[in-house]
Amino acid sequence: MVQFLFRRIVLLAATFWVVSVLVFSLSRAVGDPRIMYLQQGSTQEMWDAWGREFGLDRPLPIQYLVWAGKALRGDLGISLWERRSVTEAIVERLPATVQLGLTTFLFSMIGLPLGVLSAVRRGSVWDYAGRTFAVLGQALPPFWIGLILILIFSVELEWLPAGKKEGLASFVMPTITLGWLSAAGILRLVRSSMLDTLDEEYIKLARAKGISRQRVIWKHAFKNAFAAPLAFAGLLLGGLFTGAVVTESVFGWPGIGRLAIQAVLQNDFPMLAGVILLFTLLYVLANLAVDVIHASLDPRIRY
Amino acid sequence: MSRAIGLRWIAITAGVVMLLLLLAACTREVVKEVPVEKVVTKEVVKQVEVPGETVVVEKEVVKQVQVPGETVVVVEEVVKEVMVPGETVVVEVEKEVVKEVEVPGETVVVEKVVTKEVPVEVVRREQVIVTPTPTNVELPVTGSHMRVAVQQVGPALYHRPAATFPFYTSTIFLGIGETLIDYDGVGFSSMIADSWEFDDSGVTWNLNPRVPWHDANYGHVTAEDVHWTYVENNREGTLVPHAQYWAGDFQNMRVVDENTLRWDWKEGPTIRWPFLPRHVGNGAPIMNKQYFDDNGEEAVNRKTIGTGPYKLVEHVPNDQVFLEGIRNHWRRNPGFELVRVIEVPEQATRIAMFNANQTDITLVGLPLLDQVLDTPGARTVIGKVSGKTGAVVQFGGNWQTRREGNNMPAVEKPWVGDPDVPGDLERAVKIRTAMSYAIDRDALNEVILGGQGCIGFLYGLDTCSAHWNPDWGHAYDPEMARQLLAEGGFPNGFELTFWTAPGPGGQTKIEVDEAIVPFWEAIGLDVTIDNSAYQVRRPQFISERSMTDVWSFFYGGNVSDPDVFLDVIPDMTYGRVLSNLGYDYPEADTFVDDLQRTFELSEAWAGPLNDYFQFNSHLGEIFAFGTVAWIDPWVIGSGIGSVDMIIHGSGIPELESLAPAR
Repeated sequence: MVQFLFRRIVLLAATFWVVSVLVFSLSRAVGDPRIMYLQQGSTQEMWDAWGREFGLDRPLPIQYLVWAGKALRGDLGISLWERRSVTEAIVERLPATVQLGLTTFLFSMIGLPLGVLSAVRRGSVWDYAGRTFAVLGQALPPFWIGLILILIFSVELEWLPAGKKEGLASFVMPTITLGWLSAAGILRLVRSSMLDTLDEEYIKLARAKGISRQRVIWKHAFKNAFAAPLAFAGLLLGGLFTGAVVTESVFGWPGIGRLAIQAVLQNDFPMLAGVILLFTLLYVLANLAVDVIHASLDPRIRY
Repeated sequence: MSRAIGLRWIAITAGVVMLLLLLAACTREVVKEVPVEKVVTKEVVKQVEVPGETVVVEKEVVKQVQVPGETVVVVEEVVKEVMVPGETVVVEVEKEVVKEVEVPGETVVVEKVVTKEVPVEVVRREQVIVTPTPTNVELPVTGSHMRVAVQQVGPALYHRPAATFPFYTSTIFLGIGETLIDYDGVGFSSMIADSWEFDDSGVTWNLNPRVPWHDANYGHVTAEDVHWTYVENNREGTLVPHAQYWAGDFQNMRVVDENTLRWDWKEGPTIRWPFLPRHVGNGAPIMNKQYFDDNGEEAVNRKTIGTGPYKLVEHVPNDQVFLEGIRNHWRRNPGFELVRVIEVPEQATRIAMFNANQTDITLVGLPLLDQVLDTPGARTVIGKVSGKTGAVVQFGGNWQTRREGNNMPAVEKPWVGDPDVPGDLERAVKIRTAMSYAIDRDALNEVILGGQGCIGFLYGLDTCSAHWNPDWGHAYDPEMARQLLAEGGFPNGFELTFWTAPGPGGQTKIEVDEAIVPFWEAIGLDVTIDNSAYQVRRPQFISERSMTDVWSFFYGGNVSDPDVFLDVIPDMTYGRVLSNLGYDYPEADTFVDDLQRTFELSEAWAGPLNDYFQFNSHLGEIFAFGTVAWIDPWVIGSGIGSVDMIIHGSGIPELESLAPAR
């Protein structure tokens, strides 16, 4: 396990390096950021002053090395657009995204019992209802779900706030919007995994031995069918933290997703690089955690 | 097995029922074909007449189809033609039609028509409700608060030299900052400067000695504060647009005494003098030097102090701004005690919030106005000083300054003339003019803007402007367009890429741009639309001057102030460092010089601007032409009473112009 962890951490560092080069290169592909920031009437002096202040007058490889060196020390630079520390901006926005990610993750977990129910009662109303829930969740685009929820619960019923993070009520619609797709994915995965497991010989043996139906389902079948959904759920958690861009925009949620969008639109490359590095870190760590849990749960797995 | 089959059938039946319910939810009509014996049609027609131009017709038809036995099918159809607010006079007529229709075998047809007048039901639309703030109410109203939903509140950047576009305007619109003089679109009046006097050598500013800062520890505004504000606006690396005009146009700027400043002309009077002093979005709000020295730039950026009617409480970057109204303000009491400006990026969400009464004011695009105007108390507001958004067609590649010896490569495009080929410049003008004649601007206005936009033929001025000269416009004439194309050497048209420059101007502009294309195709042009992002193309505007396509600019639908053309026209000059629009011509320098030397705004319209419009119209070189221009209005809910909006920001409304409803 130690060797496995070591290999994964090396891989994590390599992933980081590749991502940082990609981010830096792509952020400059559209040109010098001064083109975005200096306005009509700007003079050559303004252009040069900005070059000196942000190091934009130096060769690109040097700029990258300077930026990467600082990033390693936790200094992600100064946002061109916000004119403040990127780290500060990220720290300010992170809690909202993490909170939404966690509530969404919890909501997504309804896919677990629904998936089990759907598999155990295969062909029943429960199964069809579960599969309908899954198909709709995967087919309907989140921005559309979000707007429809707003129309129903905010405009018509006036139950929930539409465009602001304000109290627990404001979590309901973004959570459903973001979580329906994930819950659908978990449901389908659990269902197919359970169906496979329920056909296994050891399940039949357990039933033949007279073990109760609930015990067979939850202890013998579900535990073994849980590996695939677990891997998915781990990646899902990383994805929820990083993939809430659309939902955050629709609901005016002050999270990292909107910060990323703004950084892209404003060609704010220090901010963009910082946010993407954070996304990468969250995703890679989620992957690592899943692998470790997977390995500890399934003794057949050897690294 | 039989149980499983049974369950499956139950599931299938349930699915069918769900589908039927879904279908029922999607339509209000439930139609079932039955053998008809008796049809009763009840038709209620309401006519709501509003004095003046408004007529509302509401028609409700209820059909009941009755068949002996149990079957009853009800079909409801409601037709509404909606109205414009105003006082209502209602005439209601109920018309009942009873038809007894034939049943096979028994041919009895009875038709009965009953028309009767019924008691009048007064129909009033909520949007007619306007509750102006009483003049005797003390402002800000105790306990009042206003919620403002905007697309962006942006980062907390209140130290003006550091504020990025477009947030350098926030201090003014939020009502935090004040400038030397006020401006109402026509003339200037006092603000922080009590008075100002021009003479041959410059201007003397006399400040109001009793303008307090939001933080009482810093006392009142002094000449030192004003001087430092302007110097700081001009510091190295500043992002303040036009800051350099102050340093370029004046010299010996100095503090005379605690309340007096003196600026001497560098080269005589210029129309640019009010750029920074006046109270519009890009004016320079006066900043406190001592506060800056005590706290440093980073802190001032996060939380500034000013002298305006609203005091900044907190700005959560890219999320929301909290403001507090100043009681007994020295100039103008604000309407609200508290204001919360929240950032909601999606327009659909902002509209939903407005309809759900979760915001009191928001900006709505013209094509979407009908989604909010049915909300009780909703009404629209447009500030007096406003530049319109437009779709202005620009012809890249016209580097006419090559005539003066610049080494620009020749661009081979039908709309570009080669000065080295006799007659070619005139030929290219015909192509550009043809493309203008081909567009039915009235249709664009009616179909996309609901008739609420203005027609444009120029870059910077439209037909709604008081300064419009009808000679600069022309009729929609596709035949003339084809003829000009032929005369220009392209009787069968040509291929072109039309870049729509999406982003600023929003979805409305993209719709207008895409609607232009069929008009050009109708005269034989083969148009490829390029919707790539502005950022992708912007490098083409910088120094290398490689923008050689036809494209559409959002800005310049109509420019309300003549001095702003000092921004517009230099975009067409060779000397521009940034924002070259894709063409230049030597005459532009003359227009700029003439305009700059003009002092009175009215003289600018009649003189250099008139020359510029004439030159760039279809009567001249037509390097750019307008199509339609519009202003997206602020939509205000019933919580807001009086409105006196001077400057029309498209980012944040002018908060000091709004007061609570009674």
